[in-house]
Amino acid sequence: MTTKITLTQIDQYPEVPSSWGGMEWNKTGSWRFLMPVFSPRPSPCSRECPLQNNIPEMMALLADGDTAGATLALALENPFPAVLGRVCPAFCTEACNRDRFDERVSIRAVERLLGNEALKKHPDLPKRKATGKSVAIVGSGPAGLSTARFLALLGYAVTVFEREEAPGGVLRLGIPPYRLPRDILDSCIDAIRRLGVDIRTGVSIGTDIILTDLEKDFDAVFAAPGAHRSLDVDLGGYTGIGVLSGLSFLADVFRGTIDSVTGEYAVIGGGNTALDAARTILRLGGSPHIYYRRSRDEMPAFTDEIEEAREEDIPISYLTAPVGLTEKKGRLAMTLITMELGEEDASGRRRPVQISGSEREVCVDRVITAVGEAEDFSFMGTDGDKKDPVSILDAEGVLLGGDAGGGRRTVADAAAAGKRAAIMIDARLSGRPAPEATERMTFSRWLEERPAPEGDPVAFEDIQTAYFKKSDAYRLQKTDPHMRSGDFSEVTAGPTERDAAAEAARCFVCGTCIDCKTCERFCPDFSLSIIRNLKARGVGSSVRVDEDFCKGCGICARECPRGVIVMKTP
Amino acid sequence: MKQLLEGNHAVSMGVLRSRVQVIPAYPITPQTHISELLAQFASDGTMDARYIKVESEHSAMAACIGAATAGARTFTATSSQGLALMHELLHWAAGGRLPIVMACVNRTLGAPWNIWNDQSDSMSQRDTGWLQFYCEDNQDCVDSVLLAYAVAERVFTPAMIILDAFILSHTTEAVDVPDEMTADRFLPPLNNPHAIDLDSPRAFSPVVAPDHFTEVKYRQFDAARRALTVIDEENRRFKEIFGRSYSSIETYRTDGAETIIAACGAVCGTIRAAVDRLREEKTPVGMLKVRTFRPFPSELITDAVSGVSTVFVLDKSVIPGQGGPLAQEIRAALYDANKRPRVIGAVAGLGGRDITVDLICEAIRGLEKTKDTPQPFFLGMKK
Repeated sequence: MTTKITLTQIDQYPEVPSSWGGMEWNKTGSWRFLMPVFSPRPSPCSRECPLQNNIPEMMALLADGDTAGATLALALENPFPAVLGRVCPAFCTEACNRDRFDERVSIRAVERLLGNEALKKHPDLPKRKATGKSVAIVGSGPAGLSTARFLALLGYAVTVFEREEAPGGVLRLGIPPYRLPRDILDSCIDAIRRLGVDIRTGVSIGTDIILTDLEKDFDAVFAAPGAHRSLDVDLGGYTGIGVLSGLSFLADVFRGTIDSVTGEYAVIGGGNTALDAARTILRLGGSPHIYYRRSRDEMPAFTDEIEEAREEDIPISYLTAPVGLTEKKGRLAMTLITMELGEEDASGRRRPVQISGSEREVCVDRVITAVGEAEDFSFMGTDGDKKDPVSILDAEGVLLGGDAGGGRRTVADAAAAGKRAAIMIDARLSGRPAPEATERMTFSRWLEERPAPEGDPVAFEDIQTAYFKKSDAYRLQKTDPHMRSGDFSEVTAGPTERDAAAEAARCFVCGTCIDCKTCERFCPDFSLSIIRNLKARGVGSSVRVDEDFCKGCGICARECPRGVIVMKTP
Repeated sequence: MKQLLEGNHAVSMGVLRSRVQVIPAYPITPQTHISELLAQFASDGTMDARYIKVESEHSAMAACIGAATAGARTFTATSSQGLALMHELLHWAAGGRLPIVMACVNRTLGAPWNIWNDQSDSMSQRDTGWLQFYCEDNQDCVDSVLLAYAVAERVFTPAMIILDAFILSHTTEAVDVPDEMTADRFLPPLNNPHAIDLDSPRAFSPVVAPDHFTEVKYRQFDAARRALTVIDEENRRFKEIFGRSYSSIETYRTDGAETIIAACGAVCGTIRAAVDRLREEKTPVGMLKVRTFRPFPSELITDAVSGVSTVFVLDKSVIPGQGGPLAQEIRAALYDANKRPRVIGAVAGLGGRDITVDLICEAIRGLEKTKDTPQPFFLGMKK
């Protein structure tokens, strides 16, 4: 009611102070010196995720019972969540704001459940109509598959060339099935094929087809050849038999060439390849022993892999390096030396230094070396042997990504590089300006032609923790270490849909409005209204501020559980 | 039926018989027994009431305001620091014209810390717009609850019934608790015409700008003034039904008195005994009990004392820099009287110190000596 009520005599006043008139005359907005601004912001988890997965939205939807919606939100940014839900180091969770409240959210467990869901019921991904243009991809590892998948969604005819007999690259030949079951991997690759991607296996670029022909036949080429060349370890000049690289050993096992081993294996190295080789040897019947020249703190392998190897009673000798190897009565005598940590090296880790006089000898049957891997440019033919193959690719307009493209070597980073390559190729082929290297462009925003998300991630101090209950994080079930080390069955199990929804309900949903209405309820001037996002159960809603009546008290910003409203000087 | 009841439980019984619907309360000594018994009544079904546990007295009164605005008969109880914490909302309840009834069990206000009785807590809230009724005994406590609702709900003004800590609150007396039917006859269910009505939405206690504020405040002032007449009317009705009477002021043996001792609360019982003893000694003395302190019954008091030579006012609290609040009010009331008696202000019984019959008799016998004493004088204070 906006009619003005005129009172001229005392007896016209109501007995108690109350009014049937409105308060619209009292434009409290004139009191304001600060203004609440609806400011959806990145969550720290999404910001740390190489793929920029929309974790807040996925969590809010799953917690609200919309498993299909959550699966779609995840699948929009993530080409194979069932894989990454198992093998990702989960940079997201490292950044989780819940850490300072009780325990970080087990985001990867939720991703894993949604990944399985995506394989059961394929989410209805937005797909652009065919552009009539084609792209060739060299390598079907995580980067190649990711690029293929996003390019297919963008309407390109994609052909992937894989020199192995089965697609997957490092996912198939590097990561053991107890971490990534092969039926899951196969289903993920099938899902990408269903989008129309043509994967040609057993075709080696550089040998069967030369790169320049690809460049002629396709509108664009993306190369993700991986890092398959093992770095050498100096074993005192030993060149005899009995020494294998970890990568080629694993590849032989997963191709089916090796199905059992016997005897004692020395595994040299501290990365995931070393751990995977040791655990694989254990499962094939051998006795592994890991030697690492630095200490546990510097070990580059994922923490849970180190933990699981320890559970499986695999001995690890830290600060120990081989310095010599000789044949001895049909076995190998390896000379080891104790190391100590000296000054920091270029990687920021303390350099191991030999302690002279600490040499000793052990006898083993085989030595597996796994001290690092280098890029494989053999797909470039003879160009691959030249000094700077990357600049040759650059000059030819071939995009390079994945482990060969530089940067952190994780499946998530490779998949992210693939997604970025897809966006860059689409920009190039469609004539649209490519996003800057510093822009954190997401696939959904690129598809909808919206700018990349901006702003600093929501900090713990921005969260109104009064609205949350403390609870324990979900933990994956693990099979018994001594039972599981007899075969390649998956080490971890879970979560159920219910477990995942409960874990999702722990998420603060930093920086994303979920239509909780807290601001509306608290506003003393009824000057906030939520514009509900009807598509996604209110997730991604926005808040409108009535400037006539908002007096800038800041209660909304203070009470917003997830830091979506920020007070600013108008 | 008569029951042996401590003053606190007498209040609880009054609340039970008033069929109160909402009781938000926060414990504090010496009030706690009142709300404990009410919590039990609410939980075991003796009362059809909602008992709300709150985190502070401020919240207790805030919840009372909400419930009363919605039209529920509402009660709470507090003491001392708890009452002080409510201060802001006492104004809000009175300004909002909400007929809430609250029991204040008089306990002194710190600092320094003290849990015993005096009237500094209720007296410090005398300007909040609440009606204030001071009880003399435990029968008064049960009856005052019913009377307070009867008055408050007619003038739309909250009412505080006040009883002295321990002297009444924790002391057992025989009390005639009204039966349900008779109590219902005196106090029918509340049907507040100014409560929230979903069919006629309006803003309660909204922003009132300067062009209306004076008129709104005048209506509140006028209602509080009218309350004196309403108190008188409700007291007559109470007397017809129950046979007991509680007028705003009461006099005792004032015929021919030259000195009248004025006070509020349970100390009046002690003064009655002192008057009896002094009368035996042929000292012409009487008593004036001020039961209704707000609204202040100035005319009734003037009429009662204007013929005597001395009014000896016994205050159980003191305003630093001013004096006893009752003495201050009586002096002000008498200013316009034709024959103004001398008013002597005495302060006694602070922080639980006993006021005995001997102490009062000594003071009256020595009245001549106090002529030149600065006012107020602290009765019984160590030299």
